[in-house]
Amino acid sequence: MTIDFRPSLKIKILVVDDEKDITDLLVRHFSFKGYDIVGVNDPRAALKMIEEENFNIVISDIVMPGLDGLELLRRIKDYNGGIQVIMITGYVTMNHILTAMRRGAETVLFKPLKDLDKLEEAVNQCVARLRMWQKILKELGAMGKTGQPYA
Amino acid sequence: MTDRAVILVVDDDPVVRKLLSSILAHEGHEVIEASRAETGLDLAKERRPDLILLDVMMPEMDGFEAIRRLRSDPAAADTPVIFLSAKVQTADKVKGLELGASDYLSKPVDRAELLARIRTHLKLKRQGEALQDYTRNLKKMVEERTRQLIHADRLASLGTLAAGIAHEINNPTTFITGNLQTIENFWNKILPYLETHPQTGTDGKIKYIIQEFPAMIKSIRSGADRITNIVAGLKAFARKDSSLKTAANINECIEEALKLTHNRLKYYVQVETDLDPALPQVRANSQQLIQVFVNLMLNAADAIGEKEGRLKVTSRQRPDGRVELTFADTGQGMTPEVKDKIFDPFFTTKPIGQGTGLGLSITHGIIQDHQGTIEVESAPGQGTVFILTLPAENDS
Repeated sequence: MTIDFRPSLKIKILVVDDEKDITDLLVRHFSFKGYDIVGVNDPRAALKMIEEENFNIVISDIVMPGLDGLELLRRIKDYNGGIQVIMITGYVTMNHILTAMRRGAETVLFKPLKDLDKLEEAVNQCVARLRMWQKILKELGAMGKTGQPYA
Repeated sequence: MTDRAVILVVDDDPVVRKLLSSILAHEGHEVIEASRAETGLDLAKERRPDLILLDVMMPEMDGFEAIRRLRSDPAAADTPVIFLSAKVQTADKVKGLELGASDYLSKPVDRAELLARIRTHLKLKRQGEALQDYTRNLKKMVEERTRQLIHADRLASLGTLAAGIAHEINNPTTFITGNLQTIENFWNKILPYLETHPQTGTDGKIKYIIQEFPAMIKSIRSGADRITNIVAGLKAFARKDSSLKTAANINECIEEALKLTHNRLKYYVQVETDLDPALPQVRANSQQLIQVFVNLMLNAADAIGEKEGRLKVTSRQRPDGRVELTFADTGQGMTPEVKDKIFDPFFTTKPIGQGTGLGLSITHGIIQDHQGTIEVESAPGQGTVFILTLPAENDS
């Protein structure tokens, strides 16, 4: 696991959904708005991409063939708990929501995403949280340089 | 205890009639007298006596003919008839019994024997009636339960189907609503360029596009919104997993629903409530229950229409511990055919576009999720009563 100390963290988003129309629409929407976003339709490929590239935010469907979105969430959090994960689902069940919450998802949004602004708001909250950690890490780095004790 | 009964005495001999009447009246029975078989038959039809004492030997029409005619009337088929005769030959007794007499008494009648036999036959008659009632009730219960089971089965299959359809429609609806938002963003981005492009001023078609495009987007959006609402309704109807429940005050939920529907009810519907202040709490999702109550209230308002009507809402705890709620309106009521289908998804009696036909399906789904029951009593012109039961908090 690598901790990113770069001064201005470039936010990278990965969208995982087995329906290409949905990844396409989200990639189109968010890249038009200036976000760095990539889509993938195979959840197992998603895991590999997360390991190879530095995604900070993952937007994932829940019910998918091959790898369940909630299982993907668990593996992402195991790999790097700092990655922010937003779940989107059409199968709204209490079980899904509770599992998503317990495994550390940032939020769950229900399809059919009637209001993409809500999703954007969730993404922005993730960005704000990432920036906050980044700031803390930077402060820590500065402290290290001045020779002050870490803790 | 003496069974008080209406007893018809048919005898051409006034002395016998008087004697029998006085014995029977003394026992507390009400006595009707007839001196001829014809009159006796008329009185039997008119008064429906509990028991008939019938003389065999009478002029014009004898007792045998009288009982034959009496038994041909299904309503009198089971009325006990005791023959009275001085003739004590076995052949006559057999003939009388074969024609449907219940018993045979010889004249002169012994008081104690007469009363004992009357008691026995009245008792038999009552037991027979009780048995018939019991059988009738059982039959009714079996029919009702069968109907409920068939209905529940149909709703369960419809629920599975509805859930499947809802999920299948959900993803494509996501592409529509999602892309639509991006199209709007795209459009807003290029619109200034289109408006200021030199050709726009001269090309009527471009002008037309600029004018119509927002309306088209709006129309697509309203269509997609409608699909979204239907899908949400279907999901609520088919929902298998339980919602979050806490101890809820049902009376408060009813009051809340009345507040929410006040604007719709205030013109034509006079609302009356009879809520038990000692009602136990119910483990419930109060938002969902309010949704149910609002739904029932709005349906009542629709059933009442644009004339004065009443809606009475009651709550109480039943002797078996369950909480029972009723919503009774004085609206137009329903035919049995409509009543049978009201919980089916997409069934509606409202004009196209005014109801999705999901309201009561969702209501049914929510009540089931609360381990409750919902039943309806209604007839055209008689109004409608919805009866809901829910388990009390400490009762599950």
